[in-house]
Amino acid sequence: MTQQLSYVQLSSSINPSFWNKFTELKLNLDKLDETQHSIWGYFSIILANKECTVPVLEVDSTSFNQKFNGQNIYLPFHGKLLNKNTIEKFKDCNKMDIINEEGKLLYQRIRNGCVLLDPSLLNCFLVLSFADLKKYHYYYWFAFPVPKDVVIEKNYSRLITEVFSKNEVNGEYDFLQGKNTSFIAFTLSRNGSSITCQQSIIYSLKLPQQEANDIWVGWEKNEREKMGPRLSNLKNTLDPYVIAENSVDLNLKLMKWRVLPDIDLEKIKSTKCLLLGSGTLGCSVARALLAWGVINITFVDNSTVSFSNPVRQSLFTYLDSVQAKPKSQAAAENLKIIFPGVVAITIALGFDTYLVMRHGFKDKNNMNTQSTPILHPEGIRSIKGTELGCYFCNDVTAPGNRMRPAFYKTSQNANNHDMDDGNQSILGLLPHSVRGFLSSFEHILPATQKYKHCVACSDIVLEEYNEKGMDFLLEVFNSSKHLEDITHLTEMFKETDFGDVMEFSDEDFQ
Amino acid sequence: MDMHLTLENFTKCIEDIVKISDLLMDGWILKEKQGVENGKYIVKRCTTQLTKPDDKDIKVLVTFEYHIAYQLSYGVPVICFKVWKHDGLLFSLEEYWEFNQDLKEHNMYDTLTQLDHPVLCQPFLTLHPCRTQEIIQPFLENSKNPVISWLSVVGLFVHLNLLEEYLKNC
Repeated sequence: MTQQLSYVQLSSSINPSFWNKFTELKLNLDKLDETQHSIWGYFSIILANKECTVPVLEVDSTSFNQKFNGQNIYLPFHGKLLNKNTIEKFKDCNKMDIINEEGKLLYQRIRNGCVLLDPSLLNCFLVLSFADLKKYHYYYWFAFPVPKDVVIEKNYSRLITEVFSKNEVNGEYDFLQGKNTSFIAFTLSRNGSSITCQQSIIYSLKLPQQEANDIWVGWEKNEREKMGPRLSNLKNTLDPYVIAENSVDLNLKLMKWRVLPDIDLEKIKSTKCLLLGSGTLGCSVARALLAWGVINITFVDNSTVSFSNPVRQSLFTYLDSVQAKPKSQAAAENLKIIFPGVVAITIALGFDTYLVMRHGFKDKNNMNTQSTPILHPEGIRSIKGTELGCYFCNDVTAPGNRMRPAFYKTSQNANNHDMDDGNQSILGLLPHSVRGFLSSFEHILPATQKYKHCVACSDIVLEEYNEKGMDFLLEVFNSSKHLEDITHLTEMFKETDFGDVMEFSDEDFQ
Repeated sequence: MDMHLTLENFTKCIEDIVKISDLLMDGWILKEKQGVENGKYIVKRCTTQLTKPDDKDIKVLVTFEYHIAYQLSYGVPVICFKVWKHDGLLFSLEEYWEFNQDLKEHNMYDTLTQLDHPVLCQPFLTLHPCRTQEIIQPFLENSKNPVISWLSVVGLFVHLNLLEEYLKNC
């Protein structure tokens, strides 16, 4: 009565460093590519201790090395890592095709003699994976391809020591030379301190008469003994602070890879930002900076959080006003608590109107030269990007019954913008400003020119700052009139009755 | 006067362990972190099956990675390790304790703690070094390799079995 041989499958074992290395590769090299990686697997040539009878194939961070440099106690296994970018692709890809293809390749290598030159090519495996790097979930499925339906009949098998004498077996392993044997399953194990091959088995086998086999099997079962992938959930082993930091980085990297490949995230990260004022603008700007990966932010503010602040100033809470915390301190504390989320672009919210706008771009090289006129169609005026007004230029024309700006965000573009051409940026149309009127359900995209008396972007102010630097700032801090004086606004105020346009600051109510 | 194991002596001991290990193909390798006084340490990985002492049916296949390094402030060798399941998930101290049969009557945190590796400064499960001096003291005069002698006593508690051949060299 002949017996049939059956396969014994390897059991995969992943070193935690494997996922670390893979994450690093994915983030810094592969990015959005579904690159296939050659990886090494390590198989111990010495049978592990008696309690552990499962043959184990290990992978670790060195699996990604180009050359196999494992210790001499390991046999190399040639692996392929196929990573999918989404769980759907991971689920939907045809597992049969994948393993069949690998099997065919192996068969080819057997036929063309490659495996005779490098027998370790016979040891091959596949890993199909999906890495959810936001959650640190790693789905993976190992396969050790073997041809399906190959029947090998066993005539007999014997322990090696039944065929050779113990003395021969314990010699220098050259006892097989010149002998006619059938097949040998060479197994090394420990006997005390020394290594022996006494556990090896000699088989007499009847091989099948079979040509190329196109159907291969060998996907590993999961921990529930079902055909399916396994999951490494490393989230709980990681410090949540590190996860938060990495997740923010990953978000930005995804934006970079998908939309803005030229952006230098490291430069943003290492930039230190000083925010003068921690009010409505300061808070919102800080959050926007945080969302773009800026991590060094310094707040300067001389007031404390008042009760009217928290509803508009996004870094404060009611509790901060109860404790009358200094604004800069509260803003810094709360920024540390907050997880940066949405990048919103909103500026001024009125009662039923709003305004969203960006700054014009100052062309340093052409600061004093006359700008070249732009040709524009009749009835339409074009404004160059360098001539665009800022929020303060337009303050007079800002939404009516406006309380205060709720958010102010600038977007700098290195190019000059001709508004009427329907400027296209990488993110689509780039208007100078968007004005909305809820009462008439209307949206307009006006472009407004720079105001030469502007307290923020006028040449007078910029030149003054260039020239005097910190001294100029001190003058501004010390006198609320200083800016208006140098931009000649004071003179204009005298001529016009601006009483109607005056606004209340909430500090005025206290 | 108390004798203690000097860093020099420790380094010689672990280098000898690696020499023996190479002959036996036992897997110990010597590593060194440059620019660190006690930069030399040895590492070995091995796979084994753990069984819960109170429920023999619960078995789990794990891999241990042992490190033996020199702890400068205690002036003693330290054995620390990581242990993970085959999906790459590390065991916490508490999870490992569940499977440890030999330390059960001791207080967990007195014996086994998560400490920084003396060289790598990463958290490892560590047999607390505060009693090591007591254990190693008698070996300092009589053993050719006090590190081996000490390991033969404490290794058992963390599933590290030494082959006989090592004991012949101490």
